[in-house]
Amino acid sequence: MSLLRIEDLKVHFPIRRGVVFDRTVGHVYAVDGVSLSIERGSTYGLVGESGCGKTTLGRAVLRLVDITSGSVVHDGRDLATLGGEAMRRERRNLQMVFQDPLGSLNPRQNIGSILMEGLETHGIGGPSDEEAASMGARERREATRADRRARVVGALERVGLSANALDRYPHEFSGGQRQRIGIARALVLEPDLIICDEPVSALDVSIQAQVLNLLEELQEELGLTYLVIAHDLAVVRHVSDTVGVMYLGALVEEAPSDELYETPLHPYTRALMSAVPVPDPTVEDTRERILLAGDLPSPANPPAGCRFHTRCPWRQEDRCDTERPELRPVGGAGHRVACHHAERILSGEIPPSEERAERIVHGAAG
Amino acid sequence: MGSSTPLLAVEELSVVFDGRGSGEVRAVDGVSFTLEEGRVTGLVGESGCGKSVTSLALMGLLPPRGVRVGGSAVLRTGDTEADLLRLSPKKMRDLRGSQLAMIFQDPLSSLNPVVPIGRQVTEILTRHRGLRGSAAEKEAADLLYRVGIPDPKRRLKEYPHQLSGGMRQRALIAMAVACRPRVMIADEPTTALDVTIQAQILELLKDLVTEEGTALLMITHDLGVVAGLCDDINVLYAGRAVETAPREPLFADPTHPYTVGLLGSIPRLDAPRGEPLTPIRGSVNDNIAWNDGCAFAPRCDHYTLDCLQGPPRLVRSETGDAHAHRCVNPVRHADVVDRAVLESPSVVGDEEERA
Repeated sequence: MSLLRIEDLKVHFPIRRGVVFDRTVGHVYAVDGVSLSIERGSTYGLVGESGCGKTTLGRAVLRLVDITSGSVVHDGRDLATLGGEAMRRERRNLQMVFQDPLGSLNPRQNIGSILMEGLETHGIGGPSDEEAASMGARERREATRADRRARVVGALERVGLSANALDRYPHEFSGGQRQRIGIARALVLEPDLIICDEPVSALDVSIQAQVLNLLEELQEELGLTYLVIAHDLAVVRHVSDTVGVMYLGALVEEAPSDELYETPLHPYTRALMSAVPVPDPTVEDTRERILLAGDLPSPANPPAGCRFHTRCPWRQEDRCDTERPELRPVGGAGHRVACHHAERILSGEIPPSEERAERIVHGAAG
Repeated sequence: MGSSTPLLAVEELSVVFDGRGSGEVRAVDGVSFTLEEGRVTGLVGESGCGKSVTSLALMGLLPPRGVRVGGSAVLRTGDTEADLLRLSPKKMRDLRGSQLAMIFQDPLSSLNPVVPIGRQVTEILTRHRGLRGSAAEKEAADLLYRVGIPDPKRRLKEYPHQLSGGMRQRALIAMAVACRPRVMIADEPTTALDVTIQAQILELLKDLVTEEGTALLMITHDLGVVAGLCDDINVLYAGRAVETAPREPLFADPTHPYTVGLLGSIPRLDAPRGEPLTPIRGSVNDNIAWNDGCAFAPRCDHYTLDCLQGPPRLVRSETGDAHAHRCVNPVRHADVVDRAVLESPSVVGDEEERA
């Protein structure tokens, strides 16, 4: 059974106007009907451009934003219906690593206190019940403190820091070290699932690789499950078993990582892939490039039918602008795509229209 | 290939900030490169390597006090030569915008938020080309159209916040190309943008270089962008160029361990999955002063005691004339097979066990 199952999740933010009468004049459809499931011990990568709703989706899983409708089932419990206190307890198993490592650490708390806070909140650590029975209150407190400290030091050592960090403050660390602290904060509670929201995008290239390798090592050692949210397709593909591509609040394609790279089916995925720079001049000079025209439409007023039809070079006259495509299995195992014409695009029956794309550079042979 | 006389020749550029009480900071420490007509030169490096300070020094945009700039940057326009670092502020103002233009990283903070786009574009036309009124407006609309902004007449009246990120960057590029500058400096022009928009902007820059023959200095941290756009590349580390080469040899046979490390750190979209990344250990703060030895030595897997015998010189590499590195123990091409083994500490550990 999958560890986390999201079904038809919707998060709509109301747009309000007026001072005296607080009217709702519309909604931003940040996440609009996303279904996915994450297997235990695997990594699900969610990729998309800014404004596609990927961060909102991650936050909705932790109920950091209000869910409009749909369900988020973790270990058999629907998180969307849990009350405040029950949800708070559930967060012990669902932790998050944020994008901005400095912004997500309290500058006035030292590292020891930042990491200890979660343990205290959830009452983790301390002597077992039998041991505690033979202890006095004071002794019990001492034992609890020692145990928690050991857990915190253990988490810090796992991410490559040492007990020296305990008394220091976030500003004393470099960006990469801060991100490691953010990861240690998530680890110390021994969660099942860690949601990594742009875990490396604020870091330098050489540090990015260190953090990505760390995430992988931790997964191997501890059997963690990740939901990695990022805008960088190369990063997502590198770490994920399954990749979901989001566009304007909905998944447009989902496939095992290698399958997605070999046969991207959705026009948006193809455009996105062709836009990612590859550090190799020969590849850069010869590959196909699809330059999309224009920008992302507003999520407050998404286009009817297929959300991508306004920018799609493969757009057809029928269905695309009237009927919203559902994710449906196409091709290999686990490959789902939300496009009416996926098969015909893949076979080359429908050629891309040069008018709708800003430019299409066909890859040279070889 | 470009002409033999470069448009802009930068020699031993150095920028030193006087620290208040904490000693001076050598942000740029002897960087040399040339810009040629119709070619793109890249400056690549991580944060703190001095790439942005280099661009500000060339544009004369460093603060007037507390900074010492050394070296020379000779701009050839027609038959006259001018050292950008020694020009008077007034002369510099005449050059900026007309001969030299710059595109900044963050288009929202480099556009004036309370002035319509149109006025910001016409301002430069009035200052340098003497266009006024409807003529200036028409030219501005033409410029916006040329950089791919649809409906330019309407956009001229709009404010920066009404434009999307990609559109703002296009407006900024329109302002930069307004007077057909000979030299253009782009400082991380696509870092704040999404990849599909980044691809649009990079194509636009490529077109400008090939059509107008502008010399472009591209400053970026992204080796992928460099691979697609730049002709000649300088890899900077701690204020000095550690490797300079045309792009093919740089990516095919990188010789400096830092370049090798950078390339090994990037997850590649086209690499088989499961191939581990080989990061550089430590962070950019773990440096030693160039005067004591190689600044990269504390993070380097190739380092020996020779690395600490004073500053390493830029030497020509075996692979080609234009390819040079600042390293006493460069990565030789024959070693490349062992590269993955050398770079990854865990694998090195395995080797020791087996031995």
